[in-house]
Amino acid sequence: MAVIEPTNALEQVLLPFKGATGWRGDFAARLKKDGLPTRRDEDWKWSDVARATKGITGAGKVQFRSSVNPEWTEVRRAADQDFFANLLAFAGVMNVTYFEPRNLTVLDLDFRALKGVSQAAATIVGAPGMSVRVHEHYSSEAQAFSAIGVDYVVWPGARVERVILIDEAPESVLLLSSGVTVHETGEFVQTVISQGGKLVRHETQLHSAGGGAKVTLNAAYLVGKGAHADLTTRVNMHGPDGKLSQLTKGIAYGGGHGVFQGKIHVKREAQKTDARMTHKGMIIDEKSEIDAKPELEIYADDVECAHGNAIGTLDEMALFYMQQRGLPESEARRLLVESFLDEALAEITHEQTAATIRGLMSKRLKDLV
Amino acid sequence: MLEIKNLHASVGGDKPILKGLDLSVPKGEVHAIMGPNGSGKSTLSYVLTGRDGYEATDGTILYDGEDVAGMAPEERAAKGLFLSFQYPVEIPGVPTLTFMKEALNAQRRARGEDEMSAPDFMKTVREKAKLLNISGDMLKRPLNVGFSGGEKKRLEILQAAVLEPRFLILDETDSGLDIDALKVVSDGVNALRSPERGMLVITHYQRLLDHISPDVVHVMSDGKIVASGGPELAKELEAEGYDKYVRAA
Repeated sequence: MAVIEPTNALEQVLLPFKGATGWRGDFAARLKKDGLPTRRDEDWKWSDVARATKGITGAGKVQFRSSVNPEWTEVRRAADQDFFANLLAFAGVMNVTYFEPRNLTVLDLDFRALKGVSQAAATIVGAPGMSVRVHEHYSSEAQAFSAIGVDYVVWPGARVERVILIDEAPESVLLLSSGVTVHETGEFVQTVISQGGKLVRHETQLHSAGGGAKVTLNAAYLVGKGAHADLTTRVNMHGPDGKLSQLTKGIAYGGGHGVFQGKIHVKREAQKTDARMTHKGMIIDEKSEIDAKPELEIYADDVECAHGNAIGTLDEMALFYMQQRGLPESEARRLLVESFLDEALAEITHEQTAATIRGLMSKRLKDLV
Repeated sequence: MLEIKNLHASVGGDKPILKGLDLSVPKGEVHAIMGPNGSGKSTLSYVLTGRDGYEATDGTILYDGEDVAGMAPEERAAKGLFLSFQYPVEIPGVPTLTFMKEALNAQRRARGEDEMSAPDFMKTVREKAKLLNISGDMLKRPLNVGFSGGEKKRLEILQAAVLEPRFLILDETDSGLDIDALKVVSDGVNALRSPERGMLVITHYQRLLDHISPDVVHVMSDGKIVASGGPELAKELEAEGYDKYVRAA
């Protein structure tokens, strides 16, 4: 019998689904029919996955390491759930890596995608009353296309601080997605640092129960030549008295492309919601691009919600001021950009982690000037 | 020390602002430039310090015998040219102390000198900040962010005191200052007067010159120096205004 080798990323993604039943089968049918997202899909209009993954094929692998041994659990999903990247990631694994840290305050996770097409998934649970800090690091070989899903459940009284560092190879595509549920009185604090790859999308779909639940979603992206970083969030406020604070800051230079899509959906029951979303982008030169779409959808009448979006360029007067005091132009530019992004790192409580991230960003910014 | 001859300059490449300006400031002297709005005073300060878009189209700027017209702003800074800005720029996220230390050491590196150690730097700043009523708390805040007009101007002078430039240009240093703050800032400037240092004080008003007594006063109008004299010239301008000079230009 002849074996037909996959010739593109979509065929490679579909290969393991042969004969799949249940939600996986349904998802495979949908994928076969619609293909990978293109700019014709409203949610993906600035991030064309089909185009970016052209030429990537072959079975890849996500190498996974964690600071403690995980447990495993079966994946349960519904194929009609409107969260493509997350479905793609979870459909690709039979058992999901599962952590429920109880006697632990720090959890380190490292995902490295090898060449080819791969999927990986994990679920992390903040047990009631527990406080945990999770550091996730993503990297890849060249020519990798990986869909990785990391879901979180934050139970009442739990506090989860999540720091995500994405440092993807220039020729690689990463769809990193997170389904997050925050129960009453739970707290979830997320900081994403994305330095791009050929196309990197980090997408968070979060459900907050309200009832004193607190959510912070911060992100910083810096994209240079050939890099594309997409930060997409959808936050659903379900119950009263929920808080959301969201700040995304990014810079694009040398032909880089940044995307921010943020949506806050406040249900009728979610009275007294306090939600704020801000995106600030800086475009350094004419070759670069930043696209942003902040949205509020509010069905409750007694809420405080605001969103803001500003895209500008480097402040020439500030640059001159710093040079006048003796700083070389390159150093002045780097300092201005770093200080611009730094606000988005304010919620990282572990100083050494913050310092490491600043160091990596600083290194990356050397080619800015 | 500063020799400007027939300086022509335009802003943004096409609009001529300086139209044949001559000025000579020997070391150890303080010269004041007074003039109405739009006469080109701030443009002169930017052309001297190398701001992008403020190009000298003709003439020469000799500083210690060296033509600085083609040099980057940081090169001029390292050679000792300092501009106290009319509107000091707010830079969020950069603590004032960090910025001053980076600036000082960048200048030192450019001059081939050793960097100043952190303890020495702190000692220097503390001593000089005291004279200008600048608290340690203020120095920890991001550069100029949320500072009052007076605080910003005091911080400009503190930076000058720490960087020890050889030539100071003070652009409207009195604007936005109340009487008390004017005195503190002027005392700070006077403390920097030295036989080795030159100063150019740009101002609209006589009141700054009551505190910082100049050796020479120049009147600038339509991009040129149209009159020069002693301190009495400033008093005459205060009494009679710029009218006759504007008409003459």
